[in-house]
Amino acid sequence: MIEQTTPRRTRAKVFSALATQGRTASRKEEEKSGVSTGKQRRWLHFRIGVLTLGIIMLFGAVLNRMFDLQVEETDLDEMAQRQVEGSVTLGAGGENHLDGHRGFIFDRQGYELAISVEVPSVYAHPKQIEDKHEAARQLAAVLGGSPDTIYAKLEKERSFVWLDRKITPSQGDAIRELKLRGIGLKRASKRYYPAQDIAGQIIGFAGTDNVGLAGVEAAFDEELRGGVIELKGLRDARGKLLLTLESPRLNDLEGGSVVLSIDQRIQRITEAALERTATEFKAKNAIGIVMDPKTGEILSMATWPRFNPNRFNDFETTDWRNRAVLDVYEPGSVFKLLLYAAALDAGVVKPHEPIDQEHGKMRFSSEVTLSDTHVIKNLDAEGVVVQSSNIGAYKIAKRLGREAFYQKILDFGFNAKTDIGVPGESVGIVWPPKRWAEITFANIAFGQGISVSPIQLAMAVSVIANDGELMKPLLFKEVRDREGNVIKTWEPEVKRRVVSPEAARLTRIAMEKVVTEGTGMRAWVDGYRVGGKTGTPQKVDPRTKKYGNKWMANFVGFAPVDNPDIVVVILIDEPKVSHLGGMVAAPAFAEIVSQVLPYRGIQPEAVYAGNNITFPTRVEPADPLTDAEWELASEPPPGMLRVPDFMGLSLADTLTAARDAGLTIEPESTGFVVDQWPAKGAEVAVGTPVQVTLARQYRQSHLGYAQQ
Amino acid sequence: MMQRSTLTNSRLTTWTRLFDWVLLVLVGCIGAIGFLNLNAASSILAQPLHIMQLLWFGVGIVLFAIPCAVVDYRFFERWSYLIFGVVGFMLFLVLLVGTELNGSRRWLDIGLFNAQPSELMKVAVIMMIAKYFSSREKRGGYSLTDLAAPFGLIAVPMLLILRQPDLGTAVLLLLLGLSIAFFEGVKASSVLVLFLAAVAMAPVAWLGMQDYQRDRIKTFLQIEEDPYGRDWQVKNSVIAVGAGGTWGRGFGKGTQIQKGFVPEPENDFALANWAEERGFVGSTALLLLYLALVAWALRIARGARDRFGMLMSVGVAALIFWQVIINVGMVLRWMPVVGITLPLVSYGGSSVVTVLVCMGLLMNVSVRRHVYKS
Repeated sequence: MIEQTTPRRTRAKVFSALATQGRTASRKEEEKSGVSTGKQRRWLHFRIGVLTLGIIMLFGAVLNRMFDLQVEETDLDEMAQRQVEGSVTLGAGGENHLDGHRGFIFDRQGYELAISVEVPSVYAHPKQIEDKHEAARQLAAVLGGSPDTIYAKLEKERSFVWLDRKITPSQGDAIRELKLRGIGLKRASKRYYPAQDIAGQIIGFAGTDNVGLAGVEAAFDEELRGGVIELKGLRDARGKLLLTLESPRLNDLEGGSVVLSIDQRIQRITEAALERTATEFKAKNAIGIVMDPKTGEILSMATWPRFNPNRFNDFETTDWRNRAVLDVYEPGSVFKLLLYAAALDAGVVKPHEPIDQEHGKMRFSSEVTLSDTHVIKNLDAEGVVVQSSNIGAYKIAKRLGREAFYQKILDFGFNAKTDIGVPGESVGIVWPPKRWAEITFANIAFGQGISVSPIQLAMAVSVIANDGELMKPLLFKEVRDREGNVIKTWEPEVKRRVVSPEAARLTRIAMEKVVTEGTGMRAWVDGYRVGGKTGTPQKVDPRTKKYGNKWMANFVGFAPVDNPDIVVVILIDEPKVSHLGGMVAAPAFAEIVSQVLPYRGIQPEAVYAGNNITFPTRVEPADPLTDAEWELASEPPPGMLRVPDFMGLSLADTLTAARDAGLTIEPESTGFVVDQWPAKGAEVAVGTPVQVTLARQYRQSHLGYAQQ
Repeated sequence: MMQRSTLTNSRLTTWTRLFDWVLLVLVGCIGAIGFLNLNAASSILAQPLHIMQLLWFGVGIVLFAIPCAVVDYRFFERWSYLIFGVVGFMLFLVLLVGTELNGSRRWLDIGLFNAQPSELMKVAVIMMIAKYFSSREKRGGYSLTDLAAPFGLIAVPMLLILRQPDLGTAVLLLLLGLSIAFFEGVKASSVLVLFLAAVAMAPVAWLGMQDYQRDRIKTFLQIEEDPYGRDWQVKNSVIAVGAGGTWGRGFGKGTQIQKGFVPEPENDFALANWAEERGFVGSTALLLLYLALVAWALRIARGARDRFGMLMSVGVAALIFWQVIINVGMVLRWMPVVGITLPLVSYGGSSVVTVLVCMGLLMNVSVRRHVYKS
């Protein structure tokens, strides 16, 4: 370029000027070693030319390779994409797992029956651990168990291994203290049931992986389970996932919540009554249901023996069963009231129409005789129910007719699912009338030879209490999403009219007489008019397939009679001390009704029974358990404790109380405690510092403020 | 020759008239690419390497390239053996008091920064060989006896550098010497003897190597499974290049580099970074710039006013050529990883300064090219 722009003539001068700059420049020297002859110059040009050509060709080869890699081969960029793009699923298991926070289960008053708490889980990166024996020894000291088991896990040829899932917070702290290389903690969500064994079989439980395995936990697993987030992330060369493509909406991990129609207070009452009865009479199982006949809502549904879902592994699988829905029994004499209502509805009997009792014995054939244990002459149709006459029941059933009786049995909801929403619900067995031998027909009239589930029975009884209409049973009130918005509700639903209101009313009168003058006098409740029916069905021996000497003691009933607020069904399976429904189950009924009605705000009334008139004492509507009562009743989760009430204590007393509780105190000022944080009853980890404010004078106003 | 001229006889005008703008533009373009490339790499390494590099460019140009361009190169010719000796002594010092990094002792701590004498040795070898052959022109090529003395001299820094250990640079010194010698011509019989000697020496060389050097070669030859994941990294370098596609993935968007799949994206594997981000178009541009630089250096050699200038330019051309080819070979997995930087693009003060010194020398030769031509 310069050659073109610079005239040759002027250039020479410049060159010479430059040349003389060099201090050693000597023309002679230059000519001696210079590249001056034409031949040499051509040779040089040739060599440079060839060399340049060779270099161009080599660069050409490199560019060709570049072209192949970058333009022709397209799978390399896919390869690059693949190795950085990992997706991680949150809410599922595994190393990259963030536990979904399973939603809560509430009772109808808003008390938590199932909650999720965050607890640590401990894991290991075995390859990073230097001294595995020592690590195993130290870990075993904290986690319990043998060092060998832990060592075996540390020996695994894996980059990640869980050592123990869901340990207590204090264990987590201890492990953190060990500062072991390659050992880490991850927060995990653990299911916890604050009410312990209350409503255990209804709630069921969720396993270690937070998957519902039984009860409501299983039935509403999808709603309760935290969402699963699949995140696309970039992976770096060490395989570490860098969440750069999107940020997880951790909120999506939260599950929805389920509100049950169960009232934990009534559930407690029911379970206590069952436990007392079953223990007293040495029963095998006991089932109790309390429900609202007008809405079909189940207020309590209890199965004894109790089941504590917090320790589900300690129980037999049979104890997990919600027998009120899953098991079927022969109902026994309680069935007579349904027969009576059906007969009244059909107009085939009148309450005071005499029914011949055949002197307590009725022959079917040379071998089979129908008999009543106690014979009362001159029974009318109502008396058949009140005194629970088998012969009378058969006679009424005969008047009703097989087909009509069968149809009514179906109408009451037997032999069909109630659609209560519990998986695996049993339908029981009711044979069609074609298959009824005459003795079978007679048996069914007093509730033998068919099987029904307790919930079916409760629904049928509620037909009588609800003026003849069958409701759909409701175990749930609503499902809420993670933000607390109600996304599903259960409204009372009338399934069908089974009997007329008049027939229902007359049946209720008969049932009240069962309690006042009949077989169920132990169901008497002071201050409330109650109606009921006893049953003492004989159980079929599973080996001989014949009725043996095992019994059930049942009682079904409602209160108050005029306008029933609750229906109660009690089934005591195989009581040993006594087996009569009126002896065994009726007192449990009374126990429940006497507590539940005041709690529900039902006022007592004057009750006339035979020669007795009882005058009521007014009861104040009972509140549900206060928060404090509830807190006392429920244990905090493992490793957590409840903050005691330090209000009004001196500093010395506060320190003592805190030490006993396992907390530390951060006092401010002197005098007496006027404020504390966290507030009393709060669940905190062991060792949590509690800030207390003290003041010279114990001020009521301050205290009141603090308690709000 | 002594015609009157309207041209002002000032030095500045002289320089502007004769200045080799092509060389400056080529160096500027390559340097700019290096700066951009380091900017992307800096984000991963969390160090402002591109700023540091810019600083080195400044220092290199002002303190080294300009003096090297301005001072008549015959000054360097005269002192080239001394320069060779001084740099050789520095290499000796490195072994005694050098700073160790990543298992290699390559640096001399001189207060402000760590100097890498092995880089400067490249220039010293070019000067020394150029000086040696410039006064010994031979028709029909050199015989072994002619080659013994200069290669005996090269062997000293080579051994010192091998001790650091730095196989790549040592081999590069040899390549520089051979390039100049072969450019001048070597007798066919001597070539044969040298070849046989090389084959015979191979096992000795193998035994003399450091373990990691053997691993690299074994890995490369796939004799042995990749013990340190090195080959995995080099494969990822190839993936990075391929992932670039035609137009590249864009600035800072190369996941191969940004997520750490490719080792040393600021240094040995700078090209992988560039190729991933800028694609075939960008890598072609860079490679063509290098090709132009090498060709331009050879063109300067062709026009040099004396044999020393010519041979030194050939040496610089060889330096650029070999470094680029070896580095590209590493990135494309054609060669084992030997730690040869990409001139003016890889990060490193000594490397940048060395190349800038070479560019200054080229400029020197270029500016003084026509003195005896006409």
